[in-house]
Amino acid sequence: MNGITKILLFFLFIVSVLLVDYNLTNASYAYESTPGNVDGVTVTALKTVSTYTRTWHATARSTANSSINWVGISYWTVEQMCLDLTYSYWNQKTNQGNSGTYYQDSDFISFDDYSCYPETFVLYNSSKGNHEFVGPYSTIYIYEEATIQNW
Amino acid sequence: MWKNQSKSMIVLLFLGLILILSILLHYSMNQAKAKVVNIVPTQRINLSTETINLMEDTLVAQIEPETTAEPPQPLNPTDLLTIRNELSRKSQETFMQPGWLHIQIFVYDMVNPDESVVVPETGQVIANSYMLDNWYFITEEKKMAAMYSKKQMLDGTFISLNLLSDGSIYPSSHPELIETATMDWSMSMQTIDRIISFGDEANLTINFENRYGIDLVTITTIDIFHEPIEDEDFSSPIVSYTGTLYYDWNTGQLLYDEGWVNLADGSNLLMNKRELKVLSEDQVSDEILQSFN
Repeated sequence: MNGITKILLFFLFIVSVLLVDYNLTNASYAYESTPGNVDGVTVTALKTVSTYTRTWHATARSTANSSINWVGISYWTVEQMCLDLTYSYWNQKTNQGNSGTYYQDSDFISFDDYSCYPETFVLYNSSKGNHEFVGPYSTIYIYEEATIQNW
Repeated sequence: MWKNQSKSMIVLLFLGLILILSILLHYSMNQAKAKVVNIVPTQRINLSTETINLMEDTLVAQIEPETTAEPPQPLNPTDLLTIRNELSRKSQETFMQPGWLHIQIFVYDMVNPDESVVVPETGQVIANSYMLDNWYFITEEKKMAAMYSKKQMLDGTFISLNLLSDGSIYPSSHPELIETATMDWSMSMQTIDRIISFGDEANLTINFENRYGIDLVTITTIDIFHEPIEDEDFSSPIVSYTGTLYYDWNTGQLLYDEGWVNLADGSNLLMNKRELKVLSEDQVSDEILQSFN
């Protein structure tokens, strides 16, 4: 490695650091996905949870490599559990989806709107439930869950 | 050889120039960021007339024209940890006085205010908008001995009741939760702790200002999302969320809190707000006293 190459690499490193520094946040993030197969079509069930300073959001995404009769969720639960094992947020959707290759839903929540009881705090934030994929001959369900533990 | 050396020199000079430009650009971007962030709280306050009305009601203060007087800044801390500790200390000194303390917290969802759900497995009701009616019993030693917390909808419909007691005056109820209780929960110190834990990612702005005769410290953060969030409740994807906490700097009391979503179409919507009232009460009701027995 000659001198110029070293200088060039150092320069690239500095620029990368500056760009990363300027770029956006790296909040707490949980991402879980599971592949499956329905009538020869590859499908994927994905759940995410992201937490930020004042808010958090959850997603459920069902995808298929090629168009199928139904891609969606049979149920999807978004919940925030407190240390005293009570829910401070809970929301569930059922039987959502469409034909094709893609379905996604999101839920966006403020922490302080759904605070725990006095003197207790958030135990976890979770996005969980069954994804549903219907092909020409069969149906499969894939359970997936993404959770951020706070304690 | 001279040719090679001059080539290297040119490359080095070029790289050096780009490096200097990158640093300058980075510096100017951070300056720009700081400027934008500094503008946000003022914009939010001006945008929301409801905020001002609420502030007026909450503070029960003499209404004066908005002052332009700049408070002396050097006396105020600028780092959030120091501010948090000061707010905690001040609220402790102000409110942890022997006897009953009555605090009401109003939470308003501005998008779907009247919605609520029931958790099937527990029967628990979770409402989008609600009021927490909290009573705390403080001992002569300035220790919290009991807490009554009733959650109800804004129309008064009962949701739930939560009791804590260390057993010293009333029968014991989850004593472990009240043993070390302070004013921190009521004054949302956990929110500030969370902001601190996010460091630079909180996109924090702190302002000291005087409004209606009250020395306020406002703590504003911006949650910037990696990808715009598509949510059926909003007409356009959510790009970021700006939350501001308003504290009385002299008493440490959280007065008001508001959160705005900033949408991809350029519009801003008030998503939620929270108001905290500390009420002076001569006596506590029988209903509350009896609930502990």
